[in-house]
Amino acid sequence: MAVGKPRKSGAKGEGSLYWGMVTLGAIAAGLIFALPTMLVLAVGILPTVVAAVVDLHAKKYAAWSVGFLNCAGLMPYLGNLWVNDHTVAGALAVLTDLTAWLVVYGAAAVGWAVYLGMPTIGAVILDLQNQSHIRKLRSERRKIVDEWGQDAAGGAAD
Amino acid sequence: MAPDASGEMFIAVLNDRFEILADAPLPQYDSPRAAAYAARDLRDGEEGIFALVCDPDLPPRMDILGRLGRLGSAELIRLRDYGVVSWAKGQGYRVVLIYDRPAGSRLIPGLNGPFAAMSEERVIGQVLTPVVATLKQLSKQGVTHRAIRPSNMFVRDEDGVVLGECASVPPAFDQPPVFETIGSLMADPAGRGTGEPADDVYALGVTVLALITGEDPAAGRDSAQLLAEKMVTGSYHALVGAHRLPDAIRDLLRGMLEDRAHARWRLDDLSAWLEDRDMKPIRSPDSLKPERAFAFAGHAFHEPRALATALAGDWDDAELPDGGHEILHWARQSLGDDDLANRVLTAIEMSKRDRQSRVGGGQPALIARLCMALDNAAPIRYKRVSAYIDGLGSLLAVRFRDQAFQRDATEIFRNRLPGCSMRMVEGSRSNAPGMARAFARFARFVESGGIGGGIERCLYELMSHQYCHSPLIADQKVMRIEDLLPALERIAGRGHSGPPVDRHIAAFIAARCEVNVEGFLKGLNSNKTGEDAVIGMLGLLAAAAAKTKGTRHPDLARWISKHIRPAVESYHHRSWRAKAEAELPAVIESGDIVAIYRFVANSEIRRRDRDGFAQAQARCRHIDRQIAVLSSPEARNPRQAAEYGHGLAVTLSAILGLTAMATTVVLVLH
Repeated sequence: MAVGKPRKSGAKGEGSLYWGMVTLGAIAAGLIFALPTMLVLAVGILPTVVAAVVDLHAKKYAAWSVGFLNCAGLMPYLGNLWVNDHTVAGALAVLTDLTAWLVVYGAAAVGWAVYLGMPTIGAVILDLQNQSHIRKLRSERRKIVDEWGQDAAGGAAD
Repeated sequence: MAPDASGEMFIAVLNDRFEILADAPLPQYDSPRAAAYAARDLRDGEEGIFALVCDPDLPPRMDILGRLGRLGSAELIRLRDYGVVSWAKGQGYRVVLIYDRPAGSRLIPGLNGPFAAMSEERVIGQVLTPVVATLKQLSKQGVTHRAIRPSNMFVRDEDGVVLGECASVPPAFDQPPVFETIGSLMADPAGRGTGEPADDVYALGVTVLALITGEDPAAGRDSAQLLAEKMVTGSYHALVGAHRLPDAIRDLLRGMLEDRAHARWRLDDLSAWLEDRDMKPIRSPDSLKPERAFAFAGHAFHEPRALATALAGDWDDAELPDGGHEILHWARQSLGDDDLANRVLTAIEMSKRDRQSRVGGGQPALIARLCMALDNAAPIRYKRVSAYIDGLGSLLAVRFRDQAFQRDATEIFRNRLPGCSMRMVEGSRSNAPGMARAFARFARFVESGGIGGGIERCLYELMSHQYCHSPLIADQKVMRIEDLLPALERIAGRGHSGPPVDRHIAAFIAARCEVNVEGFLKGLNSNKTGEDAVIGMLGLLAAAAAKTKGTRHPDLARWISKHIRPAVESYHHRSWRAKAEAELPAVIESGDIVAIYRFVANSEIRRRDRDGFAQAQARCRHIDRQIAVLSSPEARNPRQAAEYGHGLAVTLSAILGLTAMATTVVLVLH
């Protein structure tokens, strides 16, 4: 055990380093080969980065919820950039377009709304699931009592 | 016997061979407690026989009847057959003994009335010689007569008499006290036991004395007076008294009336005396007076037998605060009798052990054991009970309806006094080891005290022909297990509210049945109204019914049906219960008790029912726990709900986002 622990944390450290290197490599490659895209992404993906930073949960539900919709908001502008004018000027045109900001950050806001609103709906769904399970159990209990008599249920009514 | 209610004369038939004519009494052959009736042998029409119908409340000596029947002695009334017959309507069953009619009349009608004295020669020739020969034959068969008295002898001819019957009542039950030894007089008449040939020699000695003197040797003295005189002066002096008798007869009577059984003349000694009339009795050693008397209840005792008699005479006030050690000291120091001292020590230690193991006992048990130790020739004496071991059964049978007696008898078995008595008199009486084992079981019966045990079981185990004392059928005097269900069938229609098995019937079946019924008794004792009790009751009745295979008892079956509902209702599975309830009436109507038992007990279905019910209970408990968990506040945990909701949020965002992205890509490329 005393030997195993440092090895485990060492492996984890190695993994993080690996992914850090890959990310840096990807960013570097992006800056070299797709600078316009990287410029739009750097500004447009900020709500997702903020969500990832503020969400302390290990599974990063907030980051994923915001991220999917944030990306969906960015996708029309990135697509237009890639197809029509993949230049720095084209990227700056997107970044200076108020509508683009509204769409991209609005989509991210919808992601936040979904993230914040779903626990309430989840509680309702969970409650409904429990009630349904209880109904099934009671039905089974009734069948047992019908077959074996009230004594099988310890004499207690349903 | 009177005609029955229909006015017809009643004729009972024994063993399909002997007709007993209840309207033709033969009082000249009556025994004191058994009435004689004319009888006819159906095989050859012979009428030179009579039937002795035994009193159902006095158990006959069934154990010797087979041997008596095989005996071919011309000097003993010949037993032709015996058995149980259904007696006149409503009077139940009776044990009947078929005898040849003796040729002559009784030697004397009775001791109370006047009778002529006989010459010594006539007594010796006509009575003593043939009776000694008969007793020798009986002794070879291991039988004691125990009813030798002048009024129980029939004149055969000038050379002899025929000895009368001895089996219609317990041993020596009808004997006047004067014919009994000191020990036998201490016992209840019903508890005198089989005894030894020496007891017959003693009674024959008194018979000789009565016939020679032409007087009742008791001479107006009652049993207690006779006992006291015999103990103080010895039997010879107490009975012969001032009668002037020839020397030879004096020697004979001294030998026959010797109070020490081992020194009393044996049958061979009598034969020797009859040959030369020269034999002399062994003189009693002069008993040395002990150095110190034992003081008890204000009296001084020099004899251990007298002390034992005094101890046994006052159960209410007798107290031995030192636990009997003073008696032990007296036996060692003053009497100098090591055997007696050892017996006293055994009695003290047994009582001490019982107190430690809390078996019971206390002062009365200690006193009873000390009495046995001090006088090991005496019967067991405990409160109202006084009987030799082999007479305990007959005494119990005769006095069973006396509640106080029953209580005392129960205490005797609980305190294991018969076993103690056997230790004190080991080897002096026959078949002791077999009885020791039997009595050890009886202690368990009375200790358990449940249905099928108790003093009732002891009674039926001890007396093989005791009729069942159950209040339900006592009037029918049922003696054999095969007659039990027909008896219950006869009373089934009288609207009894209780079940057809009570303590007596259960004990009767358990004692008479050859199969093991302990499981049924356990069920009966587990709870009085539940399923086990019903199956126990049915099991017992089925065990009895197995003895009368093929016989239907429809009324009894209907009676049973009123009490078996708990067993039918005990099925947990509704469909099995409904099926049982639906099929039961047909099984009841069949009147087959064994079939009813099998239907209700149905062990395979009951096992499946029990197992299934246990599983159902376990499943219900599990369901209840789950429902409780799901209904609890913990089931609405906000953290769990948030976790679940956030997961849903991710899923929803993923669906919306990916759909939007895919749509955009398609639109842009298009």
